[in-house]
Amino acid sequence: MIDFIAVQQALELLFTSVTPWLVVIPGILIGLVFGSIPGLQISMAMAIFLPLTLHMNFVMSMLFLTAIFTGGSFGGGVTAILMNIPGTSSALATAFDGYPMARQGRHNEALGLALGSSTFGCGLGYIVLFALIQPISILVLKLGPSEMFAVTVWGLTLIASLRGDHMSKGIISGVFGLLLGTVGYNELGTARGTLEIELLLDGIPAVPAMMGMFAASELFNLLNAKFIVEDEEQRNVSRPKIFQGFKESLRFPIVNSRGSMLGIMIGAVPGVGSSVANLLSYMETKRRDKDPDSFGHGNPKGVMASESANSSSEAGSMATLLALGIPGGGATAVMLAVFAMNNITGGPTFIREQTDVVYAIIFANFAQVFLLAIIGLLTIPLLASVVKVPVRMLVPSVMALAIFGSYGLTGSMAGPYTVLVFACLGYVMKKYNYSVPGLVIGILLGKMAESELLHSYQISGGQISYVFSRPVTLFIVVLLLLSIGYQPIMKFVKARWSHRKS
Amino acid sequence: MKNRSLYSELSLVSFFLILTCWYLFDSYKASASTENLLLILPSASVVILLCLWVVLRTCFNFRKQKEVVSEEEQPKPEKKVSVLAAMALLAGYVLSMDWIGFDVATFLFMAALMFLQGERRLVWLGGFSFGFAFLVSLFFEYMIPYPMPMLLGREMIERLI
Repeated sequence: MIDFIAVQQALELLFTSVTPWLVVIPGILIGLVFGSIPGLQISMAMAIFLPLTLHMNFVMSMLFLTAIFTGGSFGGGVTAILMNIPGTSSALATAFDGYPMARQGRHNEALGLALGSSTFGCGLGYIVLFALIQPISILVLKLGPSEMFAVTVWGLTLIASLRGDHMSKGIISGVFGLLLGTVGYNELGTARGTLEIELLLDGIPAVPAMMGMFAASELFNLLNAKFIVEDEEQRNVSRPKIFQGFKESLRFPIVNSRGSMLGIMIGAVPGVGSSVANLLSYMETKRRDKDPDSFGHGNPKGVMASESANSSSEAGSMATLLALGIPGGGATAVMLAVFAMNNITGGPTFIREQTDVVYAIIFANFAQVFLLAIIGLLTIPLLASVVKVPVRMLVPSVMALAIFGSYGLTGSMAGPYTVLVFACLGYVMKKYNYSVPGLVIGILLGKMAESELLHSYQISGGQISYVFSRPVTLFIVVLLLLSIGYQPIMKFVKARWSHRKS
Repeated sequence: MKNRSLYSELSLVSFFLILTCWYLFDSYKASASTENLLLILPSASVVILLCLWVVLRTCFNFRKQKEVVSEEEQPKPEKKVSVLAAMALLAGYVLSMDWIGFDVATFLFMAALMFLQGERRLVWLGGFSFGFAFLVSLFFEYMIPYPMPMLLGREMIERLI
């Protein structure tokens, strides 16, 4: 499976000159800055800096862009922890426990944990990619629309477990979100729910909705506080504590490994990627934990599960890009532009004929993992200083940033309007125990779920028996049922057991 | 207080219910084909059924519940006012930015929200709001590829230079 001659050639490609490495540190820093600013996406950073790659060769261009990708994957978690703004959908689950940790004055630890798990996930992801790039590409080719729909529904059904105490409200939120996600034109060219408003023809913008639901609605709750962290002593930014958090994350190899493996597998599925991977990893960790009720209230394992999954999904999406030439998301789509600019077509032929280049990209990412750890540890204290800013300044600043960011994402007033509507809705939903993440996941997955279901329907001719001829779909459906049923069944069995004992 | 809480909760469920029914009707009106309603019809049915279930359960629990929720658990009245005022400010900000420009709207919004939260120092109200609004507006104006409605912004700086 591993071509050792190509390995040697890849090392020569990377280490005969220092030039390719000159772009890595700036790339990571650009990624960190863009990831840390709400509303600026990794793909946006890559697109903005894409013209610079015109002066670089293919390997150097890929090193630069993957460095932005690596830095940005972690940067998105910083705002999720400190401001409850998951800058990207891949950092959604990081906010679930990261932000409560920050509010408890454990922001240093949370940031250290996030960095540790990101490093672990990214490293493991590329190791797996190095060893299994060919089998992964074959597996991805076997995924059809029914499998994609099953993965999407799996991601969505997790919302029920997210609010174990209010399951019906959780399901309402998720399915209502799914409906909102289908607003606008569908694949057949039919426009639904647009109220004849032009801005809604493309649907409800998912990331601005997420910013409104998470950030702005949370900021309303902060209005009467003086600081995010009330206790003055806990407000300090402590490098040793950040480092302690970093070390702490490495003490949970199972949580990190599970998250990383899920991240690689889901990340390789085009379109689904890291936005579902971090949620699946979070829910799996919660489900397997001895104290699942502590999740959502500042459990460090929640941060680790999410960050390891979203970082490793980078390797998964790279597998699809390199082996099939299909971009898994916005960031890899920009990388595809570099392929085109260099007259290279990704796919099995590319892997077979240019294995040394593929390995060089993978090896460079190993080095980026170490650089991310060092640069992250150096820059986090600066980023964590947000907790020292008084809330009366922080709230208007973050709200304004979210508004600007949403405009930047949509290029029209649709973004700011979406933030406004969903900020108010998010505040009311939280108050009455409806699942805010559920609604957001629904909006994120709505269009894709509808499109995959439609394709499955067209392929099968409406015959339900088609599902039984798809073993992977059946496997995912079984996993889905297990993940929903496990918790209530175990609760019931435990209750019966204790009842019998007494 | 108890009644108000019940009505608020019922209003939210009704909002989901009405919006879902309307969306289902609108989708049906747009096209009654199976392809169009493949996901929408079952999803809307689930939401409608669950909303009805929540309405019933909420009313049932309300009747059963004898003790009034303690005053500590209720949000303080002044907090409610401040949240509503902040929502109104945010709405004003978003609706006005297309007219008066992102930079000026941001400056006014920030100063007003800081004032609402108790900031009375003019240097901070004016200085911080202006500095932040101006820098962020300029940064985004340079970074994003779309035109942004601005009153001052890049054009003014370029003219000054």
